Amino acid sequence: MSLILDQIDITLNGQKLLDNICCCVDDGEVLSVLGPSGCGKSSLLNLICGTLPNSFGYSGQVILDGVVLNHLPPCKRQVGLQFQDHLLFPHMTVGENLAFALPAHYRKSQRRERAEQALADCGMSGFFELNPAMLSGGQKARISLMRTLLSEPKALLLDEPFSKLDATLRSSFRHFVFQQIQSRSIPALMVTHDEQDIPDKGLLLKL
Amino acid sequence: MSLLIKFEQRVSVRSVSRLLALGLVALFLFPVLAGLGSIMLPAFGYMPVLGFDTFSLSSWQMLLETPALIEMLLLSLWTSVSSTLLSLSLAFGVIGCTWGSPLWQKVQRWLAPLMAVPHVALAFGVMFVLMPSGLLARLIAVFAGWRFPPDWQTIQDQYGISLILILIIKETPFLLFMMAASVVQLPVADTLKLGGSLGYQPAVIWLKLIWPRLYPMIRLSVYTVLAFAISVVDVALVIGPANHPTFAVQIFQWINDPDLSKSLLAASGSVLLLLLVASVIGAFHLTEWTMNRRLRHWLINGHRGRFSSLWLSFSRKAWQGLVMLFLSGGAALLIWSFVWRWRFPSLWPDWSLRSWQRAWEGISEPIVNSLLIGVTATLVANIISVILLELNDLQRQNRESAGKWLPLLTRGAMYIPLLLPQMTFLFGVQLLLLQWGAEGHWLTVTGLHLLFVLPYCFLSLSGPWQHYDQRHSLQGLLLSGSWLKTFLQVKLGILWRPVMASLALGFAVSIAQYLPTLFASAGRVETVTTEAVSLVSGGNRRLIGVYGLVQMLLPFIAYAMAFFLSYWTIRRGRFARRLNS
Repeated sequence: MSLILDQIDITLNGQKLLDNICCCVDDGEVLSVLGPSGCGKSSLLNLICGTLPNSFGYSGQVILDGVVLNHLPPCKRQVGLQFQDHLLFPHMTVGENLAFALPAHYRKSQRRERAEQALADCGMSGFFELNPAMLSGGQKARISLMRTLLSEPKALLLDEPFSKLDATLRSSFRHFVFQQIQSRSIPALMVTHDEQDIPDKGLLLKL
Repeated sequence: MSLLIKFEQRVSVRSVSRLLALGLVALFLFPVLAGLGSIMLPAFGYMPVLGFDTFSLSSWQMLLETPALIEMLLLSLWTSVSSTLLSLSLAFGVIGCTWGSPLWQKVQRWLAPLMAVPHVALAFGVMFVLMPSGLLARLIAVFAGWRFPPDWQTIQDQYGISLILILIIKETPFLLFMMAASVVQLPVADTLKLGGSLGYQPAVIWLKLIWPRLYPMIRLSVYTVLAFAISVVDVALVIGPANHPTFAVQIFQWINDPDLSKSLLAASGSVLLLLLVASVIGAFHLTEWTMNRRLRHWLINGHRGRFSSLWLSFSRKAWQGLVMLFLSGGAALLIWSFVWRWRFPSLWPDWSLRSWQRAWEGISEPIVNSLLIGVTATLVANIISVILLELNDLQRQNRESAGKWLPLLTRGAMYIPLLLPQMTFLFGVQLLLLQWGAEGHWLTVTGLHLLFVLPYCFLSLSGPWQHYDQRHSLQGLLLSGSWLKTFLQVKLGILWRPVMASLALGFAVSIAQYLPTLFASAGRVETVTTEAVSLVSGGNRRLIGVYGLVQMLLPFIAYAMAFFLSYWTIRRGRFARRLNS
């Protein structure tokens, strides 16, 4: 289930943002994309997600699990996305946020069970009925990641996932994220501009 | 000591500003509440002016014995609920299928002209398109070979379909406008990305993730649309069912009946209309609450959507159809105003300026009145809106509890005249004006227009005022040392465009007012709108074309002036800055 970026070029107004990006991220591996603001990190994420604005041009192929993603709509790509803002849905409880991500084939009782299990996995049992606004930053981050993983993605994209956490939370959440990626054995691509976020083992792409 | 004086000064400024804001809100609400109060007495048989000086329930008995009362109430219910729901779905569909695309920019550009057109002018235009001998029938006749207009009831139909259509054309842009103002407060782009990454189709993301957060922001606007649709009179007179009209039209006919005892019946009917509006809004609210509880499982059932693109493309087509109908309505008014003779099924009429020549003598006074009332009401409404918004800001900056409740109270008060059926409280206001001998003056008419112009101006300005970065004013104050200079040159300079747009909107709202003009003027102050509606009974299409077109053009001129004024001021500002540098 590897994620392959094959000769990716991204242009904006005729100017090249990314030039001939080639790499292969294997299962359980993390590709860290490092670079200053405006160098095209987020555009690369958008390209993989299928949300690159029309004003951008691109060439090359994004291949996930042997399938070329280029012309698939975002909802068909099976690529999970984790934002720095966590974006928990405020009109749902914590448990509903998790259940929302589960595929449709789970029945009502199973959905609750799976969400409860995910809460236990991230050390937050008993939080099902809670309003997301009542969670701390670290808890929000964990729920957001679990929600993404519950949708059973084939790859995970992380958009500066630790930038809004304080130093203590940052290191524990970082550990939690990399552990989840390895245990679920999916390729991951992480955009960051902090070298400390880069895992010890993994690939690095400096832009 | 000086600290104490400063503290006292600050406290007194705060309390004075709070009192001023409350006073303005009370002054604004007084006619509405007085009107409501004064309708209650005649509704129960007490109207000494007409010689009814004992309380009784006879008018209620008469009301309940009115032939086809249930049919009229049901018709009002059907036209209002269906038009509101359809407008809401269409507005939501349009924002869902166009948001973030270049088409969304185009849609937003269309909102101002669509909202600016008075309801009656739009109704005339659409009537000229849809009637059996209208533009549409003439076009079909070319292919179908018709020699006579078809025997179809395409307008004033008994089910109120044409009325529903007009209400949809008019209310969809308003709801879209309110949605556009609210949606910017939500992280739509990220939600769409996130939802897509979880496998959800865009339409389902809008339904399950954005709509539940957007709807509470526009709830009051939806209720105003609902209240308006139940109590609308002018449009219903033009295009609504004639035999068993809507209940609001029936009340209007009772008010105008030469038999004065019908006034009591009208008063009881107005109270019943108020109850109808209250119950429909209550039912809407209850349905929302129930759906919110019942649909929890649907929200998280994991279905990612199958017919998403179908719904979105339908909304897109429906919006295009709506704009087309609006444009062809305008074109039909223009054509009819220059028609001398136009036999069916001919596509090309015989042209003449006769209608304009005939109308010109009669229309100049209504135009002057409309301009005078519109400009005065708009200026006053905008000045009051700015004062109220500034007073609210002042309370908010002081981080006091009033900073929270005062803006809420002001905003809530602004919705009251929009949520109440116009017929009910305006009839009450008319009775009061009669008692005070204050009717028939243009200032009285302006005062009543203000009740509707002020809320729209206030609501359109409150968004920009809220988003204004107060640090600009602080910087201006530090540099100039003058509060007034900072307000005029910095704050108003930055918010100039919304202020201009609010002026144009206020004028458009004033031009469209029918009932307030009629009830306050006692027939002595004629505006383009009252004259246009009175032409319906005559059925002279050429004159209707002229009046409809003038009514349509006046707000357009205001919008064009607002656009050029803001564009010119900004350009002038840039030019001056370049000179200074």
